[in-house]
Amino acid sequence: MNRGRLAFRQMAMIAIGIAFAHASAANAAQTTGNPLRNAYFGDLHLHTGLSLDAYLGVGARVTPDEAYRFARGEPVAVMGQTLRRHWPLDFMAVTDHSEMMGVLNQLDDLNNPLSQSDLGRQLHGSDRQKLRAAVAAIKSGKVHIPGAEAAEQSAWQTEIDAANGNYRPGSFTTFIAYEWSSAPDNANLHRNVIFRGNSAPFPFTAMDSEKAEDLWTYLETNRARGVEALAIPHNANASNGLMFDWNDSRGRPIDQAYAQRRAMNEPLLEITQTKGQSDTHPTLSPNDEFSNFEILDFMAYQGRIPTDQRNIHGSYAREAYGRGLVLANRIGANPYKFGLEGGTDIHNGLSTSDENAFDGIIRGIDPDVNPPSADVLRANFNGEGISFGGLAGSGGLTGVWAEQNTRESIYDVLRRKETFATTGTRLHFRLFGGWTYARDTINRKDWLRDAYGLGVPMGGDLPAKPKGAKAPRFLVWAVKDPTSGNLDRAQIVKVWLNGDSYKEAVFDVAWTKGRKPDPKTGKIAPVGNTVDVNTAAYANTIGATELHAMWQDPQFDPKVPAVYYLRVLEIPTPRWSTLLAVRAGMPVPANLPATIQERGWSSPIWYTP
Amino acid sequence: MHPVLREPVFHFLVLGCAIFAAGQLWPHNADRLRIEVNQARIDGIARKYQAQYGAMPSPGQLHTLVDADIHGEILFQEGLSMGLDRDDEIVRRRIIQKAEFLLQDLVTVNEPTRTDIAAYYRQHAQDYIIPERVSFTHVYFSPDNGGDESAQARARVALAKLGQRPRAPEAGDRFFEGYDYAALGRTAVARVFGDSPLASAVFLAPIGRWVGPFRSGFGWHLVRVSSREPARTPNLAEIEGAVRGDWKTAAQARANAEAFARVRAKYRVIMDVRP
Repeated sequence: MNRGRLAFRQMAMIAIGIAFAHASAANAAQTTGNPLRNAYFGDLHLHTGLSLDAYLGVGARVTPDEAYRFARGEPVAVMGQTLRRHWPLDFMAVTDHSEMMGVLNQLDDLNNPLSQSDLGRQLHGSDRQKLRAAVAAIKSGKVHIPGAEAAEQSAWQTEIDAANGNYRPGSFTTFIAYEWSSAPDNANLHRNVIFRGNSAPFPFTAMDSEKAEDLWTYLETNRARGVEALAIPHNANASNGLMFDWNDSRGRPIDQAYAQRRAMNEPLLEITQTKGQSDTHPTLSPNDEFSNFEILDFMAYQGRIPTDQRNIHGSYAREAYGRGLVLANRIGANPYKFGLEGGTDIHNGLSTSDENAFDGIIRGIDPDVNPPSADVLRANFNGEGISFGGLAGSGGLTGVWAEQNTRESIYDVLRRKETFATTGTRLHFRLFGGWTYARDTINRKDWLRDAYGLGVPMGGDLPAKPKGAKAPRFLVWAVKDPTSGNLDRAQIVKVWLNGDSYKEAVFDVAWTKGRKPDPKTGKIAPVGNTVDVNTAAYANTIGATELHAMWQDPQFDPKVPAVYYLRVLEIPTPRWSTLLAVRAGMPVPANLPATIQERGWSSPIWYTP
Repeated sequence: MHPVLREPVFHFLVLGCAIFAAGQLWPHNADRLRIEVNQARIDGIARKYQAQYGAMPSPGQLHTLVDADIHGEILFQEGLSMGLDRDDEIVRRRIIQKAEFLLQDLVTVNEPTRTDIAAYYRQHAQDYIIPERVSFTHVYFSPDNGGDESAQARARVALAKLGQRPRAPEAGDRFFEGYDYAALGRTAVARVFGDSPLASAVFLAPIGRWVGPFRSGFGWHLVRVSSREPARTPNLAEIEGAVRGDWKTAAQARANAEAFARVRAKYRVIMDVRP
């Protein structure tokens, strides 16, 4: 095609697109949506070929534009195969690593000087030793890469254009976003930065600084200029105790200013994703029989910290909630007052969250088109290459309770923490806290009006205790994913201040009929297991479609600060490793759990005396 | 003078040696590699300068630029003679890209006529279909109340009593999402109920009559469809702009393929591979 005409046509299309987007935005602005809020599901963590590790390590070439189109259900052609997300998402943020973003992709663009440089030729060539040396040189940050700045600028513009071009107010929301990839001494301190608006300044990267405080300065400077954004840490489980440390980045005890800045800039934590969950660890929560779940406390691509040197303390959310209460008591501000969300962190540009749409190597697949072969799975389970030995899990999702599916509405949800995380299933649940809910409020047809009117939703602070009230009451409601397992139980996790330390307890609050609490432990018996490991089939003959309850804290002390969050478990279903092994006709790996209980976590509700 | 000095043969030899020596010392212009710098090339360099800086280069600046151009050209020719263009993936791909652009520049596609657009639209009408939408109400029977079979049985009993009622949420169990749905496409129905028999049934059920029970991802449902907007092919006038764009994309793709086929015909591909 005549390139002049092509350019003209593209400009015309963009102009039409802008006009259309404006019209839609105007329509959306006219409606305020559902005041009782709808659940929308999305992914705020995905890498495309513009991420250095995705480009080199996974061979990703999917562009941000293709990533957004895949997420909203369009078929996308990848190396000659047409792949589709079976159940589209409601919102998406592509979060490519900002360090060297798009720089190596210029190898594909022959107009870039990098392509012609020695470094470029080394990266292009088939000599693996030279390739490894080149990557090491780049990662050291000491080598000059021709055209790097221009490439990064252009990549960032590509990210912005892809996010704006795929935004469909009312049906599919996108966010301009990136990942700040700080990992001092192989401890993962990564944060995803999510912008609210339709433009964004150039990213602040971990090459600028590995200290979170400096990232906050960037966010605060932008905010002062009217550019709103927030940062979401992830993989605290692989942070070697640094994510929720007692100290700041320079090793000084956290002070009030640090606590306030952190709470302001980091309202959420990504508690689950392909590289494990960061709720808690059996070592930290020995009395929680569901804590031994998708444990993964190393980052394969960064080199492993030896097992006996890994610091579990300071790496999980539940403990962080406790430390937050301790710190608030000591210094008058809580740095760890965050809500919860889930992501995929998939590295091939195809955000998938179904258990059968994951190949174990942080890649999304279309199970109808490119399920991994037995050979690929065997290598993966044996921990060859960049795999995690089958320990990585399928992607998680973020649930939001939003008035409508627009950038403004969903971003404001992230800010007020009315969010929840799931391990990829679309079970959804509500949690409200208050003092005056009636015993039967939850059974009423219009219970949501009272739930909002008389209390606060997940992510909020309990209002001041009225004189007559004894203990806070919580409304708990959960419904299953129509395409997944039934619900086993809903639990409230309570963390409270105990002197200069903290305590935790897990309460079963709703479960299927017919099970009674054990008189000694108070715990509800396991729900059972219908999974046939040989066929990877299960039956929804156990568990519930919907669970609800009004729960009042039986151990409440009005003088003691506390945190309450909801955890909802599904019945056991086959893990991705089981599904894919059975499909490929190979034995189910004996060293991996054959089944998992998919689950969700709500953002907490805080009580402060 | 020595008689030999007067010999013509001697003159011939001396002259011959001198010419040979001169030829060795000052290589003839005809043997040197030529770099041609004509006025058009210089004008081109000057124009690039002007595009960058807004003014024509001074004679001194132009001299420097032309020198740099000659410098580059000499290295380029040297590189070519050393074969640096071969066995280089970057160069290969660059040439492929240029050849492709050239090939495609030779192909031009005219603006479509109204007849072209109409014909294209007729052939590709299925691409422009606005999908079917359904409006319905339902009554829900949860397996949580006594199990799956009981829910189905309760639904059957309830169906007999619904008669002509336009909606009847209270005839069954509470459903979290409500009971009334307006103008949903297939994806939107599946988004609520999962890809299930119910999600298909609402697109087949008779209008204005209670039917069921159908299974969803949540349990059993009776449904009453109030209306279905059939899938509709829009008038050409509504979407002419889009069709025009698609016609041009398709026409260009076809023309490109034909242009390549003509070049391809010059080659015979011999596959030398192990069986």
